[in-house]
Amino acid sequence: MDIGKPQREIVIEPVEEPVPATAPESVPEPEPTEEPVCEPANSEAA
Amino acid sequence: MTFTSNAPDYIEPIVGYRVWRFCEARINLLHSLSLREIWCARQAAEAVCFALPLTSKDNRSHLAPTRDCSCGIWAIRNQRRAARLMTSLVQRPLMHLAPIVNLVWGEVVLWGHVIEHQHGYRAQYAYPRLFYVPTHFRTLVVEPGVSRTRRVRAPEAAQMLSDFYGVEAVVGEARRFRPRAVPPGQQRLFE
Repeated sequence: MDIGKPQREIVIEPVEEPVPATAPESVPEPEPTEEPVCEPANSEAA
Repeated sequence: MTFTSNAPDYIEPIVGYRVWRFCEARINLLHSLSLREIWCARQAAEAVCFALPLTSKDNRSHLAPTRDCSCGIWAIRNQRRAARLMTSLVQRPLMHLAPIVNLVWGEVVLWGHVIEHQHGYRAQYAYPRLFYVPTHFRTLVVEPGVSRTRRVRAPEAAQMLSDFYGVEAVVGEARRFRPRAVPPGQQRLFE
């Protein structure tokens, strides 16, 4: 591979990360341990 | 040893082109043509100088790249030149060996300390941006867990590269690809 003669030196500091972020590992949803209970918000007023 | 600390010349990485060798049998998918550099997933490739000291006085290791050495992560500036390199490696391989069919090429972003050359760059850091997988691509990969190999062709290789490195991979002949628009945050110098 021929890239020719060196011309100049430069410094590049990207403001954004050029590498894709690691894919987040999937976390399984916790199984409900008991039946959900719906309570009226204000049972006395009902 | 550290590079001289100055204000950066640019805040956007450069886009160049390069060729890789597909080596799925190892942990990482891509190596450089010389097989000395390994390209890890989701991690910037960092240049290391492999040059041997020429004299006993010159035995200090240096951060790569430097102007007076050949170290650094190489990339070609022009897509057409990179396509010609890819074609020549396949059609006229070195040392009259059989054609190399496990090569891919593509775009790479470069940053850090960069030596700009007439036709390319030597960079301190790099990461693939887009892969071009030739239609004739084929290689053998080792099935995980068993000592058996199977043949992988271009579409599957493109999918593996995309999944592993988290960037786009397309299949096609080298001469048919056109330079892709550079999005905000990246740049091509002197195209």
